Amino acid sequence: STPAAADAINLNYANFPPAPTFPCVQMERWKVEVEKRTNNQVAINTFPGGTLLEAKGMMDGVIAGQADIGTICMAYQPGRFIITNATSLPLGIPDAKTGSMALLKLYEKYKPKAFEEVVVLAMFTNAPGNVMSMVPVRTLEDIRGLDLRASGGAAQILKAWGANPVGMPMPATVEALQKGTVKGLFSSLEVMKDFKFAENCKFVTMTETVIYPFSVIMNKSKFNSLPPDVQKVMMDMKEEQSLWTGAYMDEQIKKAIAWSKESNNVEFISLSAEEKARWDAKLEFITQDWIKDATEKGLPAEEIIKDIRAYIQ
Amino acid sequence: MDFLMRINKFLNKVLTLTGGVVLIGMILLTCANIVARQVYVPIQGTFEIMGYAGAVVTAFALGYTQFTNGHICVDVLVNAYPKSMKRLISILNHGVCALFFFIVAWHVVQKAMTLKHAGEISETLRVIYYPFILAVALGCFILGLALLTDFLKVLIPRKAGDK
Amino acid sequence: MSLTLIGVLGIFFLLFILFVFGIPVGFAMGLVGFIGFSQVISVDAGFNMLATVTWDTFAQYGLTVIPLFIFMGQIAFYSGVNEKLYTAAFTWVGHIRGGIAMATILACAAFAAICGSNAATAATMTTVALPQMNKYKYEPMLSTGSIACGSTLGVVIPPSVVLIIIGLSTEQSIAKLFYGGLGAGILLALLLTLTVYVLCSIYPAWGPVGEKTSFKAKIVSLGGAVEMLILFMVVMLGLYFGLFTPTEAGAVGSFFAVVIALVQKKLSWNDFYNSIFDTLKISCMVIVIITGAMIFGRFLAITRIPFDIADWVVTLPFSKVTIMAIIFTIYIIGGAVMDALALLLITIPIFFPVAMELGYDPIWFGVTITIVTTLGAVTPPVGATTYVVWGMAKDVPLERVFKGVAYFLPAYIVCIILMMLFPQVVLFLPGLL
Ligand code: NA
Ligand code: NA
Repeated sequence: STPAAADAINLNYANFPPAPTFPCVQMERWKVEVEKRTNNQVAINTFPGGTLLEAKGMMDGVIAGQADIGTICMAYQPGRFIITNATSLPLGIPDAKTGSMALLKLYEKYKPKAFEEVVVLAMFTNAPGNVMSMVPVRTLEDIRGLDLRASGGAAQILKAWGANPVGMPMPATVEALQKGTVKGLFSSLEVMKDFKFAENCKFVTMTETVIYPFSVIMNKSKFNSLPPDVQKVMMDMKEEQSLWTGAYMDEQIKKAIAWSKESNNVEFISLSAEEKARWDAKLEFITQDWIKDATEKGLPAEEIIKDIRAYIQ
Repeated sequence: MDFLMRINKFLNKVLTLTGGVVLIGMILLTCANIVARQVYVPIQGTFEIMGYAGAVVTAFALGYTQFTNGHICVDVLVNAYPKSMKRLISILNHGVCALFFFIVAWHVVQKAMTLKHAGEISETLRVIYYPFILAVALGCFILGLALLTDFLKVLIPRKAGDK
Repeated sequence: MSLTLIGVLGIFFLLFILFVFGIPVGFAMGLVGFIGFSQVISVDAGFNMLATVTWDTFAQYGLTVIPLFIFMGQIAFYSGVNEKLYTAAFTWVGHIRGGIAMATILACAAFAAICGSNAATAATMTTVALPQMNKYKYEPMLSTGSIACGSTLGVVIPPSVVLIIIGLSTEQSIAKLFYGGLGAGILLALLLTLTVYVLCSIYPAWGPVGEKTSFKAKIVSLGGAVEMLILFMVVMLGLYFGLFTPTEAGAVGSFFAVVIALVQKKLSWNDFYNSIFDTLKISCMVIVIITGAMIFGRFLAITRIPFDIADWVVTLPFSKVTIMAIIFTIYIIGGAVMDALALLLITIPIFFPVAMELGYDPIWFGVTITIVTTLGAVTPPVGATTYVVWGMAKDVPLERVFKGVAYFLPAYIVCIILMMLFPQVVLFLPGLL
């Protein structure tokens, strides 16, 4: 990239996962594009791997100005992002691109209060979760009692299927798998390659359920202090960046699947329509419970679910 | 002065004892979880509770550690100073550190309140966890108090004859 | 004022208040980190950083391993079990010069194999080993130096959080990194043991020689130590077979240490009470230093000094080996002033591609920089491990502890040179996977 102008406006962009992961890849892409499109009026310093802010402290850190921009994973803070977290209910989001667009539309329509102190620069999701395991899981009976790593909403889904969700950070999972403390995990598939889980998990059951919603947020007064043309560049990139990230994620999934098959002979198990229906039936109560809870909190819960279903059609 | 000392001693005793009980609880919970996992299913939220409990153990020991000179410092040079210089340095140190930990305590309280108002709950157990953050704030406050006592102790030397 | 200048001033200010004012190490790093961060961004941002890092560090599951293992060590200490273990060790190796110090380094290596943390290893091993070495009239420089350096094996020998983080940031197999770390860790342990042997040959008074004992006496001596050995086996095997994580191992170890001591009627109520209070005090001291290092690391990160230095090295017109030596020097200096994990997280994304560009093996690079960074954990001014040992070795002046550590530095240098000359030291075991 071209060197930043000497009088460029410096912005600090914090991210929590390690540099090679997709939230950081989209961060670097956004940095390059914004610097280019503003003719280097801004220079963006990126801080991957939680070097400036950790996942849970991201939102308040950006509000306090500890970083100007940050990527948050809303699933890590249940109770706080009720509306946008509805996208992580088992509603059948097929891929990251569709999920990202649905999330962004949902945000634009409801403008949730949780975001009122920041400016949203992009919204995206990861790809749907699948079961990666050391033993084959072909039926609901196979997953019963299996110790699988999952966090947040994913843990609730595993429980509904009868598995034992074990909560632990992704890095700890690597060791836990090698020692057999957990027998697998429930997450989107790019981790098979990124974390080399394919070395331990020789089976993947395609459940295609549950995504994690992410958002790129910016400190409001910092955003307001930017020249109008810079603001415009960032706002114009909102949808484009969300779409780009979703598409990039889907591409990574394809690569991870191909790599797992090729280098580690991983078997990918598809559930029959009949079996899939059994799995899905177990999850219906989760959405019902969410509707009940959100309604109590005075949110138009039914309408939110209806909207998400419409967005992903 | 003596009153402050007594309060300090009492508070630290209560906090350290609580910390000790929490530590034993952590050991028992972890062992119970290992057994439960072998015979049936793991105890939900063990990972989460251990983190919160660990925070309480550390925070509640802050003041006691200060009280028993457990926070290590590099006193190679300081030990060589003349007495009056040593006293001045000690007043400065304890004053600055006391202020620092009152600030830390206050802002940890702010953090807890932010999470309370945002309605944030824990990932696995789905319960509020800001009270644990308040416990950490309390620990920092008590450390500030211990440092303030040390500060006053050096600042207001006891008159000869005082016991 | 440029950010780099603020960063450099921050480092000097830290050294100043550490040495001239004698402010506790953890407090000083937190204070300077906070002031520096507020100066670079804003006071509000500084306040937020302070509160967030304090809470995040205190509540980190990975750090709960510290109080648990320290408690296990304290119980062993108060019940006299470890004294017996050392009596046994002395019966076996006491006739060798410096035998107890060698045994301590090997015990550190064994402990490191269970525990992922330098600081926890240092704290536990100081509790267990130091009083015994004092008893046998070992030179304090030798005893504290061997504990501090032996404890660095904690991040090299798996399981190791540092190796896991390296694996994640470089997209390498963590299993391979673990096996690479095992090879390198064994080499370093042997070199440290060899150092004890050489030191005691030069200064015979440092590691007094005991009497030669009969084989029968050797066997009999095990009688008093067997409980602790069984406990150690339970913990190790439990970890090996995946029955539990390091934190769980600490809890299981603590639980059984108490049970053993109670059954043998060696633990009074007062001992138990003291064990708990000492555990709280020591682990609090350790975690405060870690928190301070995290806060200071946030400040250095925002000045971008680590990023800038990394960017600069890449532009140098030198040979492959010279650039690698420069990178290692940067890691040693960086490790000397900041927490290993923070340093690695910041610099790996920049140095790893350089190493790949130069044609080095990724696993080799990951393991080698771990050893290099770990060296920083014992060197002044911010040698976290050394401070932990010193904080617990009440009567030994700090400069003596650092001097003791200095005697072991050649072992690290030789280890790094051997790894550069014979990469197979690191790469043999991963190759078997
Ligand atoms: Na280790
Ligand atoms: Na150091």
